[in-house]
Amino acid sequence: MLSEWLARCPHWLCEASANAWAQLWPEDRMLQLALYCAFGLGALTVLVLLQVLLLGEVSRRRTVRRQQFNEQWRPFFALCSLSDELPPSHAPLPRRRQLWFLLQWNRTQLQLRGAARERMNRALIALGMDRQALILLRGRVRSKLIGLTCLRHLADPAHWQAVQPLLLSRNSIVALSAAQTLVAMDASKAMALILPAAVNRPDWALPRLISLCQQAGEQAVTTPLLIVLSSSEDPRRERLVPLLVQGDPRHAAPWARARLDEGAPAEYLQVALRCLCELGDPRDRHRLLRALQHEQDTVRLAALQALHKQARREDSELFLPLLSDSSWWVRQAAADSLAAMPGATLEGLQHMLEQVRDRYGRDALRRAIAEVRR
Amino acid sequence: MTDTWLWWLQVAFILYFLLLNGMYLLLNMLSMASLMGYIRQRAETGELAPYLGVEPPVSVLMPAFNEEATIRTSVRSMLQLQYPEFEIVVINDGSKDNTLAVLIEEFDLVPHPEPLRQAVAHQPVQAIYRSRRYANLRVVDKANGGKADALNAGINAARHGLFCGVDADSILQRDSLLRVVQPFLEDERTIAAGGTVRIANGSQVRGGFLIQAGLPRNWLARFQIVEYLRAFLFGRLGWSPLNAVLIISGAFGLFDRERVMAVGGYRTDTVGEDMELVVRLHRYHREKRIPYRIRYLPDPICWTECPEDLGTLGRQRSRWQRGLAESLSRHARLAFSLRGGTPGWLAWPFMALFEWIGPLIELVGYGFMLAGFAFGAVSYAALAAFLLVAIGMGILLSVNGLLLETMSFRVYSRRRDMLQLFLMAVLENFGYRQLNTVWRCRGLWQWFSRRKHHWGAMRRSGQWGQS
Repeated sequence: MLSEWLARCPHWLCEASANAWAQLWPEDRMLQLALYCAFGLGALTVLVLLQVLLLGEVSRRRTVRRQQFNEQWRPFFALCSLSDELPPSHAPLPRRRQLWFLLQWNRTQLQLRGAARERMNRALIALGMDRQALILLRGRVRSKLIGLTCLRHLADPAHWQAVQPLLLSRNSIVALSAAQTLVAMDASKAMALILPAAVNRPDWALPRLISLCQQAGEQAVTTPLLIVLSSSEDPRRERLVPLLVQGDPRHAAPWARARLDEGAPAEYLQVALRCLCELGDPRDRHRLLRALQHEQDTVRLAALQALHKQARREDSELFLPLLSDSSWWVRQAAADSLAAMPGATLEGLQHMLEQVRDRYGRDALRRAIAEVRR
Repeated sequence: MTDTWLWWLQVAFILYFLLLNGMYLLLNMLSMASLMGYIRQRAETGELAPYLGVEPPVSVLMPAFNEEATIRTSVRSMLQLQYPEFEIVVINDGSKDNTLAVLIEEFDLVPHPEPLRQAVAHQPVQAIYRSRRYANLRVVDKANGGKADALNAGINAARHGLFCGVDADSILQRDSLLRVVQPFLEDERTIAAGGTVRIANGSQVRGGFLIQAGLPRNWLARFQIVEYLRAFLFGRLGWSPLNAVLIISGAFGLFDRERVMAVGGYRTDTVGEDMELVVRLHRYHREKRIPYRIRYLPDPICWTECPEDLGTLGRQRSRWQRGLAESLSRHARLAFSLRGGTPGWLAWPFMALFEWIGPLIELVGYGFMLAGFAFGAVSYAALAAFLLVAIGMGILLSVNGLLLETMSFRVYSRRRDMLQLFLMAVLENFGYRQLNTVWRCRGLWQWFSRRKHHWGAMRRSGQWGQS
């Protein structure tokens, strides 16, 4: 083809282009190599641009399809959340769109409360999509997470066996998502599994565990946590001590009192004091007073906050000396406590302010009074 | 003899540019892998930033100096951030304009008798105000001392354990705080996290929030969009998995307050206080063997107005270069030290070779090769090879920045915008980058001659103030 075209090409044209090329194309080998590289780089750059445009176009089309799907199904979900009956007619749901359906269902569930959520659950089961959620647990990470979120909303203990193995997943996102789903199904049973497992999982960050404990509720947390703390020999269990604050303070109190009585490390004492703060038992007052003398300011602060919770009118004498504490935070907390004492009046506080000799304590109290007056 | 020297010089410059762009390509690969992982995780955990109910409270610190045009809108946008518990502390650093008066009027401020903790040093505070309308807004009015000094005052005034430094001329995306706090929830060792800064020129801003991202008409601003994409999406993202991020932009970064206090807060004798603090945090934690993580996240977005005139842009770039030089030279002991880890053995040498003294080598390289060619001392082949590695690979790197953007967040989703950015990615290599090199060399000279530093004056459009 090319040879035919060249054969038909006028002689003067072929010669002129050949001459132009010979003038442009260098004879130097290095220069030739550099030009080859330049062409390569240019081609690569254009390829990257094409990839940019292609990816952009694919993503734009996917977004449009997704929006259309969501707009099609949004009225159906709205009807499901309002009625006990499944809406009589709905658009066909092809298999390849089942994932989007579950994603949209999960998102709708997040915006609902109470009976509406129950109705949505019934609709999902009526459509047979709960089975699809279970199938997703066998898929890749993203599918697993969509399935787990769906089962969390359903909170059906019948799915326990399917979810429990995922608690051991090496992927911490999957494992923690499975933990959340188990807690939704049966909080006490789940925490009995999760807390011992958490000892060996440093990749489960403490804030995530606190969130799990909050979801499970204090009744479900305390007993398994105390068992783990007392029975395990693993030093890594100490990481879980701060979780006790999320537990039932009545059950955690013996542990807390024991730590305060034995003079445990400061981190333990802080947690113990926070437990006793929640409990607010006046019989612990002597322990709190003793902790006020602790050398660590974090412990003194926790003791002060615990005392503040059960403060009586005459306790201002107790808090006044703390205005001259060496720790800035203790001084501010003492001032806040004094300003918020039961029966405290503005005149009384002003009078108290005049009595304070410590400059920093006076500043702290003046600030606290201004904030109380707001 | 002279010919041999000349030949070796040509080879050295070509090799330097090859190494420079080659290393950036490698960093680009790392970033791509990191970004893919991040996007996958984001898709897995849901595109909306999750509320866990355990997010630690955050103090947002906004140092302000002569910001009367934008401060109203900036503070309003901060007040509407999507986050469970936060306070805003605006630090008026002795502004000469009406910044304080605007704040007092707009937010109904009244004097508040509040003692400041003197954990880090700063210029005297004249007054502290609190808002009668917003319980979580306070303003610290202090004597002028520079941005770092203002931030130190903010650290002392902050009541929460995490603080987020934000420029008063920037606006955050509503969920930025919720996103940037995620590393602190996922890994207890995290002490600092930074987000991406993007250019808002040409975008629609209403009520302190960015409604629609768009391209500015000004070409200088367009060049900077490509430059920011390159700097953030692979300049920083690539270092994050290695725990070797040396820069968290002063415009938007979240820090553990106690750790920052432990290293003495921001240094006031540098113009690059943001970078200097991060390098110091690395050094402190490495020397004391305290486990730590410093993360960069690509999606918590902070929008900022960039300069649209050569004078302001040139001064900004000189200041940045000076800041970088100060930060690296002060912490030279981090480099190749026994406990240096990836920041000391990889990031510091990389930054020193390609970012600190790099502009000087580049400038001399361009000068030598072009002058040499003009006087016949440099061959066609050498010049072609030089331009290929200096400009050809530069274009490829810029275009790769666009690829990362398309693969991830697609802020500029219109095809026309992407084509225009592509054009900018090519054109910036013919003049703009070389001009940048000259400005950066000026910054190096200012560092070397220890010129007195001050707040960077910025000419603003003031469009944001008209909410």
